[in-house]
Amino acid sequence: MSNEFPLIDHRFLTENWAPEEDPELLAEAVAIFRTDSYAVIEAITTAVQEGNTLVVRQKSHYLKGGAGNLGAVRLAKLCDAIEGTARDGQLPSATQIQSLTDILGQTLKVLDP
Amino acid sequence: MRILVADDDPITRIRLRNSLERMGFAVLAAADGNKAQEILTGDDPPRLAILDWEMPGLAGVDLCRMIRAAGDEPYTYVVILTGRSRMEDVIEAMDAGADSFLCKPVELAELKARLRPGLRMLELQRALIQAREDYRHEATHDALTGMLNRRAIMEILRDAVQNPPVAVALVDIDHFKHINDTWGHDVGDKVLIHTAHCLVASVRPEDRVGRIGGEEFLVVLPGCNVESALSVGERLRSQIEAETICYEGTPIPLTLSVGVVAVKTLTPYEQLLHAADEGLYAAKRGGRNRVILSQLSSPSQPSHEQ
Repeated sequence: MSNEFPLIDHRFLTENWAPEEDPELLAEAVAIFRTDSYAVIEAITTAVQEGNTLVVRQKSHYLKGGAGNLGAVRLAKLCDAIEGTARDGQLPSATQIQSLTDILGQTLKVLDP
Repeated sequence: MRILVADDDPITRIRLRNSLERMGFAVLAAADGNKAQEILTGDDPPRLAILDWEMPGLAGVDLCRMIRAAGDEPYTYVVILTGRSRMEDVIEAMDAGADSFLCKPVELAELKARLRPGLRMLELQRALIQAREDYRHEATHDALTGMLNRRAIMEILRDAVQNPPVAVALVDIDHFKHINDTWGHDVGDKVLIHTAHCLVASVRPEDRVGRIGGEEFLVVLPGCNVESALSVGERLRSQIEAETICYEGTPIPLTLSVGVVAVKTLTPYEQLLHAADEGLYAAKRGGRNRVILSQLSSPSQPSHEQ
């Protein structure tokens, strides 16, 4: 998962956020994403410990939406995989959960250096 | 054009709001399905809606089904927004009544393309509704005076007699044939228009005025008793007499004869009309420019002259 997809789809960012014209809009979205995402990953971690696949599915779906909107393809794909696993009634692996935090950190470094 | 964006993801809302505002839309945003439902079922809802399939509260597809089941007019053009992209998902959304389908993350270029048919459809419907309302107006109104036509005012009378008390005033322009013969039909038409406007200006908003024949008007007065009906009749008469209409500087003498009748109990509308007609006839016979009240019990013998 780590290198299969680009961390950021810059074409998507340019065409959909017009960062040259309106840098503040993207900055505002990234700030919301930063605040939201760590809390969501925490909720996913707790849900995994409790074996609650429904919450895992809902939270990973939510995180996937935010990531996709910011062109964070690698993170969105990982969320999609976790969501699919949870939909099938399975819990994600510890490696997947660790990857969530790692990839989120890398994503935010690029989006909000 | 107003548009609703309903999505629980704040980043989607920020981005779509910004993009849609740049496209010239006025954006309303909802963070869950219940809020979206409130907006779409409230007063004067937006006609375009982008609904997230999965939202807390009410899912976008379920809200879409509800809107279609209500079948309200005008139409709400719905675009379902989702992370799902399988053919079965597209079919399910369209079966729920969606007009279009957008996969997340939304690409701005695709969003614009998906909204274009929506704008075309809404414009087409607006034009059709406008045309229908124009035809409806034409079918119920007299083209010359703009008053209700005979059929429409009779329908109103038929409804009004179901809720007594009710009164009617049957109004006829005196010596109208003479006006037409002396001044020409164009002036005759002006007199009709002038009279119609005077009648409307002299009654309450809940009273209705219709042109039922050449120079004959019917005024339906819901809730009126004998005294107020007589006073309305007299007001109509005196108003026309007082307001001079001129042709090329020469005043045209204009007066009305009015037959008035009022009932307190359920009465067939035909009887009411017949009695008003008797009153009008008596007013003509009595020298014109007068109001005669008819009693329903003895319609052939008008009882009161004012």
